[in-house]
Amino acid sequence: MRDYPLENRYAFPAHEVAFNKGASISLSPVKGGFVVHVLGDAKSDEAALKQTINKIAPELGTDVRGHSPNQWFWVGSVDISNDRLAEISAALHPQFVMTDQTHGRVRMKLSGPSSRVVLAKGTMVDLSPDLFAIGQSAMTQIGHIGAMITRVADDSFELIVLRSFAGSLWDELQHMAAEFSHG
Amino acid sequence: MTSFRIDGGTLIDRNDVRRFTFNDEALTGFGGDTVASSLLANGKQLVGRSFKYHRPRGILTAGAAEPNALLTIGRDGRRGPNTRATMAELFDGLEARSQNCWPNVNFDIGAMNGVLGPLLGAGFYYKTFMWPAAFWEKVYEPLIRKAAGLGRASYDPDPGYYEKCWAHCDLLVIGAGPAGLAAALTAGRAGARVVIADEGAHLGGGFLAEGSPLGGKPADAVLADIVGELHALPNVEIKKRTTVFAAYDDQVFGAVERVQKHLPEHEINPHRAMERLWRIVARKVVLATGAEERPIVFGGNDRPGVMMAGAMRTYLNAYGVAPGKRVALFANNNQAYQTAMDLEARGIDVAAIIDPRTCPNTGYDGKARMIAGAMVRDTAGRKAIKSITVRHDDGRDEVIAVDALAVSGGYSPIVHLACHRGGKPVWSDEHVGFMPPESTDGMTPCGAVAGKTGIAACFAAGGAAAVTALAELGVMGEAASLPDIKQGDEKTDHIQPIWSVPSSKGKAFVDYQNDVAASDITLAMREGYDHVELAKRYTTNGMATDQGKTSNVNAIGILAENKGVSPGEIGTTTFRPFYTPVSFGALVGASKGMEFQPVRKSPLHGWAERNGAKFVETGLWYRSSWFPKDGETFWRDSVNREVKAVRSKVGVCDVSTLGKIEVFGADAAEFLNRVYCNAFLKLPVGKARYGIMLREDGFVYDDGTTSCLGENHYFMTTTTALAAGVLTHLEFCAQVLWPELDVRLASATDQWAQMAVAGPKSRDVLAKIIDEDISNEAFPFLAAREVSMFGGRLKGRLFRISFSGELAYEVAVPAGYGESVADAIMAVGEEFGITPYGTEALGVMRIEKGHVTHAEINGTVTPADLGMGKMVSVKKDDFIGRVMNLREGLVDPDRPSLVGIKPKSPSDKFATGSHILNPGDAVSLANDQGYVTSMCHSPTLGHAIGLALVKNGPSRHGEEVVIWNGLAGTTVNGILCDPAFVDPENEKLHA
Repeated sequence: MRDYPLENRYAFPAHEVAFNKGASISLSPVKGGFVVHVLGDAKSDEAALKQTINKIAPELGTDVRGHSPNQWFWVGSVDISNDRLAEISAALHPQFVMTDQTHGRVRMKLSGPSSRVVLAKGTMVDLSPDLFAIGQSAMTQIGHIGAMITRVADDSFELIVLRSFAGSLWDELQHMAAEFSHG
Repeated sequence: MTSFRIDGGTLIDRNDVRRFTFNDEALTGFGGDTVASSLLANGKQLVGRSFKYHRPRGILTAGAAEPNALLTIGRDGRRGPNTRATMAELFDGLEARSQNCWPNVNFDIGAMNGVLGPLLGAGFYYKTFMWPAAFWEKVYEPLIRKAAGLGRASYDPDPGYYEKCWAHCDLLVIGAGPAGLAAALTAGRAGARVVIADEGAHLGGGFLAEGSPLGGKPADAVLADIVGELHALPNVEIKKRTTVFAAYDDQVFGAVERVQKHLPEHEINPHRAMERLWRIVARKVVLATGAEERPIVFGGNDRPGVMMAGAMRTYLNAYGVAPGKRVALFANNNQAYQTAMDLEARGIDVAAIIDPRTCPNTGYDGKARMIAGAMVRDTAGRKAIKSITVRHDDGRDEVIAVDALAVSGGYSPIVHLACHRGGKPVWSDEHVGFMPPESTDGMTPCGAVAGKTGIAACFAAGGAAAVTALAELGVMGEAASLPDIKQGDEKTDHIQPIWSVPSSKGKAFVDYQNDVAASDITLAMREGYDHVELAKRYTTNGMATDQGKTSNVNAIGILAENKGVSPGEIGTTTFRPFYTPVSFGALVGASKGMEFQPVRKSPLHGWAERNGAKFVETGLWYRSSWFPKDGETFWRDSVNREVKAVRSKVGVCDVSTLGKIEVFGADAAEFLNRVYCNAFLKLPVGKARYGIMLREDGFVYDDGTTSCLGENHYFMTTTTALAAGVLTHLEFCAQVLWPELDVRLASATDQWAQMAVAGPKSRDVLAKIIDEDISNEAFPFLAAREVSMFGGRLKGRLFRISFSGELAYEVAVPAGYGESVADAIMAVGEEFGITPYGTEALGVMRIEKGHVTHAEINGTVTPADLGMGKMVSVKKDDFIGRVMNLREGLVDPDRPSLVGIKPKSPSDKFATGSHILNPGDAVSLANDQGYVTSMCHSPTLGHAIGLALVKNGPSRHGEEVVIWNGLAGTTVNGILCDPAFVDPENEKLHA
């Protein structure tokens, strides 16, 4: 049975929300890629982390998002093997340690002209374009669910949420977006 | 029926005829009408009955303060009781009903209470329902509760969707009257992010009631220009129908937006909120909430047809509704004279103006008869006013026939929001009112709330307030001005306070909503309740849905007058949110039904569903509790089968919900050594250890296993319940207690799908999917390490630990692969008779084995109480809880300690929570020996078993006791025993 088929299942109930054509909002899971939780020491900062990543794994990009003081989520769109992760982990040491959270922290994308209004129904973070720049992140709550919001484009936000809450947040966002979903 | 609709009305659209019913009578109104304006237009002066005396009541105001015209609007789930007719917008098909009357508003049996009026004064309940004492609960209270309350809530679920939302701005402008509009315009033009909120359906405030041109231009045209410009500014967010109801700390304001409450059923978008609860975060705030016109307390002042002068003006000018055909004005200030002028301008007969001031200098040059130095002391009319009795300054009474009376006793600034954060309003003799507190913490009051009168003065004040607020934000602004109007042209007004008319005949009401008369206030004073807070509670003045908006200041004035002091010395009661009532729907938002709270699902949820699991909510998690098979109709049938299968063959259980924490760092071992009471410094790589964490007070906090997966890398498991709590505790220790230690913590609960594979065949099953040698020699009890699985296609973590007491493993795989791996385990386990088992079977097996959970770790136990006293290190220098764990009371051998318990007769049962007594002792907690913490039916032993905390328990094995269920009133004979009912020698664990 060692050849038993293994499937990596997504945490979301669907591949996308079937909003009507012309809706000012869209919601979809971000498939593939990685989320690595990086923990620095008291002296480490984001610049040092990016510098280190550029040195040891430039091919993975330096999309790092501040999680808490001296801690980041390092996010990328390609899949990484266990062996490569082990190499990276060793190379980050000792200033940084890392733990793979690709399965524990899942990503979804909320886009469209109404995305800010929808998110304002859940988060107290001010996401106005002049205050929340592209690439900026905030660890917050959407309703009662902890989530990290990152602005990835003009009207597009990526949400990172604990896998166990993914279905619940997905449903809540659908409710929040419903008024904008009918084109 | 006579129509009171006249020409004009800036807010109504006469082409948009709307049909509605009032107490089942079909009526019509226009688009733009409120329910109140359309009722008045239809000649409906009587709209409800008062709370206590069931007196006929009409419409007093044209806004949020309305105490009388509370109607039930809508039907079924959309039925809204206590809806203010003055705020509810008329829509086609609206159904409105009067409240507090039976069988109907015109003939109300409850009006009998009016006859009993003399007996029903303040403190009536307290004085009357004194005896017999036994009557209180069975007779008096039910009767009072039946009579209490306004309106009736619907029992049907509200089909509407409600939600909450956040907004952010540089400047929040509360109120869109002249001052607020000027502030918003000023800030908007300066480029600031502005939110302007107004509770009305239309922006404008005082503009809406204005019948005279402003600078040669109609007031509504001036207003349209301002609103048009605001709409065109992209940085200004206009929130109509939005009541800012609370000012919280950190400049957060609560507001409720009535998004679709004004729409007929067929126009309601089911995907949009009916109401939206806003939390608005503002850097600065301009408070432009205006002022509330005060009634005057005189005999019969509650008769339908008596109306605030300003409200009458609004109905006249904004809605084209005449209040009557022959109207009198009773006012102590000049502003109210504008009502008389507007009435006359529309051809309505103003019978008289009664002014208590002896020589009022009003500038009024209309036709109405002026009666100076006089007061209205009484009114007449059964269900609507027919006449007033005026007491002249020479003591003479004169009856004047009228069908409406406009009243104005001055103006009370609406200071609520300025006081929600603890500020106390300040009395002003000049304005005869309580003004906003001197320090308002980032909030600038302006316009009528700051004592200004007149559109021009308020507009100028609003602009100036915005300029000040913007300057504090570093933004330059120029105050907006009204074209062709002389700014700051404030009319001087002299208001003569009258708190109640001394010669009043009959009941003179202070608080309409609670039927509190002036005599009730003075009665409260005579009985010693003369402090403003006591008087409120004794008389109920200022309570209920309107919170005394029209009554509080008059009540304070009466108290002051009778004590011979200034109202400022009396002070106000405390202002608290909410400014006006907020529906439960808005407060609940989307959190109802299945969306009441988030759901956490295990990565194995789908697998469990496919295997027929029944789920149980544990916190937010849904855990599989048992897996019924065909023919099993009772949960325990399934649980018994699952336990037997695990004990004899093999089972698999989802334990993904246990908390998992990665612990890294050069000092991780030292860190663990300090947070656990047992030793962790020398835990070798590849080994797991059971650990107990104490609180600082020496009691057990949580337990679990921690494995050393590599040098400076540990993997901790916590109980499901305390996953977040333990991580918080560890972070506190790392950041605050021992910042010098190199330790880093990360939650990994969701990264792993974790399965317990337990039973004598568990090794055989796992050997088929794990690539490495997991024999007892290669992978002994408490081994823990990363393993290769499925021919190297997957890396997982394998732990040889057991909660069931069987030969058992826990295997963790990346969560996304959880279901596949669980399916594979089921497939390879088929030949060994594998069965999925749930938390119920898990619970049974841990009791059989004598393992503890939070049923035993209940915050009152030490490790020694749980039979694990030897685990507490005596060698370590320190660890959390060390010192306090040595306290005398915590080492007392007589403490309740863990013991097993079983019924003397195997057929007997007992319940968790039962108390343990010595045989022969009286059934009483005075003889308590301890209590049962957990119990179950043991399918392995065939009878009930339990764990208990019993005084000196470990030395009493074999002793007979009585198990007393105090709730059921039953006793069962039991025997104390070793808590390990199964495999006390731990042979299975090491098999």
